[in-house]
Amino acid sequence: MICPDCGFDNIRGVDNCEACGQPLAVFDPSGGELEQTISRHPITVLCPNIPLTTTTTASVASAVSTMAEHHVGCLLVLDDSGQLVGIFTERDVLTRVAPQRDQLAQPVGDFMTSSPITIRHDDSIAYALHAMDIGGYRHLPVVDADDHPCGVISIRDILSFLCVRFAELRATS
Amino acid sequence: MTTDLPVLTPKDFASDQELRWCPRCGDYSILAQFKKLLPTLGLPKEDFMVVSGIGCSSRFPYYVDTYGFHSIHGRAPAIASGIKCVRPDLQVWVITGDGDGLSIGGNHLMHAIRRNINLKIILFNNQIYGLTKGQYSPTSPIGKRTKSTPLGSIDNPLSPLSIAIGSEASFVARSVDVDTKHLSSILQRAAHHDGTAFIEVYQDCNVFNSGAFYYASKKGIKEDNIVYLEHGKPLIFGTERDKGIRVNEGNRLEVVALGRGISEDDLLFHDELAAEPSLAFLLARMRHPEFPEPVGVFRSVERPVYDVALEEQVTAALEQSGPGDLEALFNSGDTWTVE
Repeated sequence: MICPDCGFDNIRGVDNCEACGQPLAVFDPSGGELEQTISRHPITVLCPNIPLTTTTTASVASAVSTMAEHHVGCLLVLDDSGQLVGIFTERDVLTRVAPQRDQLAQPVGDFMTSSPITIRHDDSIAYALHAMDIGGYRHLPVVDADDHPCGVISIRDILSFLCVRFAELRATS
Repeated sequence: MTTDLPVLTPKDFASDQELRWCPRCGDYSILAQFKKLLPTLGLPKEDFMVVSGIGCSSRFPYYVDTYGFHSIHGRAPAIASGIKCVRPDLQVWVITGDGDGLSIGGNHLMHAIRRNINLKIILFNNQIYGLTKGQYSPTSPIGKRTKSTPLGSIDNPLSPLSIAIGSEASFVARSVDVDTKHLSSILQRAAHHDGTAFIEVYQDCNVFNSGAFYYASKKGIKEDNIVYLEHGKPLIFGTERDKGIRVNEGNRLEVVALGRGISEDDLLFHDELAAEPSLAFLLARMRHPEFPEPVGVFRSVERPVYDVALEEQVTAALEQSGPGDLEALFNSGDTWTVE
């Protein structure tokens, strides 16, 4: 049984979690169901999208074209070694590029958001929401143990998840 | 006629209070190890006192079925000092956090440690203010973006262990919340130390600062990022245990690869009993990613214990001068009546 508090996978039937010691016999979550949901579930339940990437030297025009072609709101910007160094979003286009339309040939690196906040697969949805709130972001790059980008989640992904979850909770209440 | 004390179990130390920590919070693990520790100490439940300040960590006393004191912000060490001095028979634990203990409580913490009062202090370090929803704390790294530092923190962070060692702590240790076996052993050592025992626990706040200690807690990664301290043994780490720490010709620590002319004998050997705190301080300055961060007992030395010395003084004073008369003392010297 998965411990609701620490996530440890216990043998079915044990009274207490082997990892954190919390009782498993009776599960009485505190807080609302939605609060429990976003605290307990990691962002993997959102099925992060495979990230579309560009480089710091690619032109803004090519980046915008890629975003439009794939109907995405952001591109992860990588350096020559494949490390995540920035994120280029539709907001960057509106606020940084659009005022200077003759800059479309300029490199993406000049207009991207550098060193973006990233999250990992086992981070909770609650943490992802908090990170978006801190920076005013709508997208978060997902990185692996080596800090290589492996996904992207958006506020829309969280919204969709919450809508489905809310409907489920209403149906079972 | 004597009655045998009941054999206590961890369940006996579970309170009836609903746990209000977030799911997957690192505090659960620390609580679990604490509840496993207490029955092993051979004391009745009424001989334990848990004192906390304010913060997520400080909800701890509610969840342990012992005497407890959820006190005011930063003042747990001061209140615990008073408790221990008047009730030296109690085993007193102080639960604090990086905010409670190092912001508003920094001064009290320093003096409790300096005095070497027989307290066991556990500082839950999650590098954030969790209870108040995510502001930066005295241990948040430079550049940390939070609600109160939207452009990134420009504060130089404190090292809890540096503060403890600088305050002349007689027992200093560090562990990680999810390393339950190691944490359990550290709590045992602290419980049996005579004097102030200070433990920093890396604790994950999965809502407001998730992954702050990912490098020190994730299996498969942590082996290259932490080094376990063992008294009398060389500092060796790495997944293959092929790396070590030595003092180079410039008297600085460096990471070296074993083999290629470097053997274990060339490495720095840990000495937790060293009278001077210099080695402990040097180890406490090792920070990721430049160095693996040490976990374990940094320092464990004997120093006069404050509450023991206090009790001896009180006993001597009583023998010399008798129990005293407080009323008479108040009315001694120049007094006057305000009419």
